[in-house]
Amino acid sequence: MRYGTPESIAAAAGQVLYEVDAASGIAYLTLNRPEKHNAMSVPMRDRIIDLMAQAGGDPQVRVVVIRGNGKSFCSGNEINEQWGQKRPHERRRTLTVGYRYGADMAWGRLGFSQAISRSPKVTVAQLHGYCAAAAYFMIACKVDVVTAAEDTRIGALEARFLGPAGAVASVHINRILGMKAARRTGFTAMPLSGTEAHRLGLVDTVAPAAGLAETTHAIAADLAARPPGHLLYLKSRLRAAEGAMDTSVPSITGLLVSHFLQPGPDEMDFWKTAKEVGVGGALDADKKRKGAADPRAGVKA
Amino acid sequence: MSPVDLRVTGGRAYVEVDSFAPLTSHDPAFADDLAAAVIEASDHDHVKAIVLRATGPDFAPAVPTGFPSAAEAPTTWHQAFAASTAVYQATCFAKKVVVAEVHGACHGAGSALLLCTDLAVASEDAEFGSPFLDVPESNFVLAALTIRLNRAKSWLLRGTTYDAATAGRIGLVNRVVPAPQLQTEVERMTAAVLGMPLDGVTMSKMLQQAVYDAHGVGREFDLADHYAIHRTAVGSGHTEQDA
Repeated sequence: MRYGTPESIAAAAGQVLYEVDAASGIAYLTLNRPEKHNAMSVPMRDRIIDLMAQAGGDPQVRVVVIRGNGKSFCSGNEINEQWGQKRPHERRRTLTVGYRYGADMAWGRLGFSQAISRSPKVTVAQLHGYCAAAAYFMIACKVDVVTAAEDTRIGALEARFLGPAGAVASVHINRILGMKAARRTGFTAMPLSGTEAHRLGLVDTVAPAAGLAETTHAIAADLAARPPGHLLYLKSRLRAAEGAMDTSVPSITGLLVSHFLQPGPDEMDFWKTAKEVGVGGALDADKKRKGAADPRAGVKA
Repeated sequence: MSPVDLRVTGGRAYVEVDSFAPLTSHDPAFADDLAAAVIEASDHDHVKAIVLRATGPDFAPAVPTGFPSAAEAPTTWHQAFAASTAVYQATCFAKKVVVAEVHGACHGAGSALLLCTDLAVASEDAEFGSPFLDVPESNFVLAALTIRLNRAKSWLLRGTTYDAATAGRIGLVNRVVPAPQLQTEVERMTAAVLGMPLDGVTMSKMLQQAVYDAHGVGREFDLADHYAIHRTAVGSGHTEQDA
C-alpha cells in the first residue's frame, strides 16, 4: 500500500527529477519542491526509493548524485500530510503510529533509508542551503560521499520540537561526527556550517556555493571512472563492515521510533497537574482517566 | 636470513624490515616471519613498546598485490591468506603498545598495518594510500574508529592518497615531524610508554580488545576471507592499474 493523497502522489513525479548522464556514468536525482525547501512527502520518498532501485539496476550508472533545486538541499520530511495515521493531519501520538513512521523511514514498509544506504552504486549528496532533519540523518549521513557549500546549514533542526533522540543516539551519526558534536546537534539543534561539517568529518569536500555543482561533478566523475568491478567490490565491503560496526540501518530503527513519540493529551495533563499539586497528586488524578493503569498499585505508602 | 629483524633494547622492541611491501604482495614467508616477530616482541617480559620500522626509502611502496587466486589454488590460497591475516591480528591484538614509524610511501599493507597500531609518527614526506581495494584483510572498522566513518568511506571509495599533514589533521597519525626528526620523535613517544607500569600497559591492551570487539573490529577481521573471495570474483586480483 502506498500512502498519500491523489494530489501528493500525482505531484511526486515533478518533485523528484531523475536524469542519467550516460557518458560519465552519473545519475542525478534532484529534489524539486523549492517552495518547501524540498521537504519530502511520502510519495516523494516512494519515488526516491523507486529511482534508487532503477539506478541500482542500470549498468550505465556507477554513481548517484542526490541534490536539490532552489534555496536548499532539503528541509527534511513533510510533516503535514496524510501518511497512514488514524487522524489525518495530526502529529504522531502513539507508539503504534510512531513505529509505522520509523519502519517507513528505516527498514519496513518502504525502507527509505535502505534505498540509499544499501544501494550497490556509489552515492553522493550535494548539500546547500538547509540540510535538516531527515535530510541530515537519512540522506547526508547515509550516502557514501558528501559535498557541501561553505554556508550550508546542516543538522537536526527538528530536535527543537520533536526531541533529540535520533540525533544524539544514532550510532552512525556518532561515528561520523564524534560524540560531542553529535550531542551538540541533538541537544541544541544548532546547525553545522558546511565548513564545520567538513572539519568534523561529515563532509568530504566543501566549496563556495557557486562552485559546488562543478566540484561535485568532478568527484562523481572520478568515482565513476573507476573500474565497475572495483566499485562493486568496495561497496560490498562497506556494507558488510557497516553491518559489523552497527552503523547500518536497523540499529537506528528504535531511535527513530522514540524520536517521533509525542506526549498524548493525557500525559500533557499529567505533567501540568504535577506542576500544580505534585507528582503524587497527579498520579491520583491520573487514576480517574479511563483505562489508566495505577502505577502505585501494590506499593505500600 | 630472514627479511624481518627483531631487536629488543631497554623495553623497546624494534621490528625492522626493508619495507612492508611484501605483505601487500602476500608473500607468505615474509608474513609468517613478521607475525612471529610481533608475537615474540609482544610476549617479551621486558618489552612495553614495539616499533614497526622500515629501513628502506619507503615504509610500504605500492606494489601489485600478487594476491593468490582462490580458483587456481583453493588450498594454498587459504594458507597464504591466513599468513597475512595473522600479521594484522597479531599487531592489532598485541599485548604491548605498537608504534608505526612511517616515512615515504605507505600504501597497501602499510596502511592496513598502520590501522592496527596504537600510535603512529610520520615524517613530513609520508603519504598514505587507501588499503581497501588491494588488501582484503584491511580493517574498515579500525579506519572508521580512527578517522571517523565518512572519512573512512571516502578513503575507501575514492582511493585518496593523504599527505602527511592531512593524515595528522584527520587523526590517522599522532605526530608529523621533519624526516630527520622521525626516529627521535618515536624514541620520545615510546619513552613515555616505557614510563607506564608493565601490568598497566598489558591490562589496558586487554581491555582495549574488548572495546574493539564491541565495535566490530573482530567481526570485520572475520570477514576478510569473504572480501578476498569477492575481490577475486569482481576484480583482477591485482592493482587497479592492471585491471
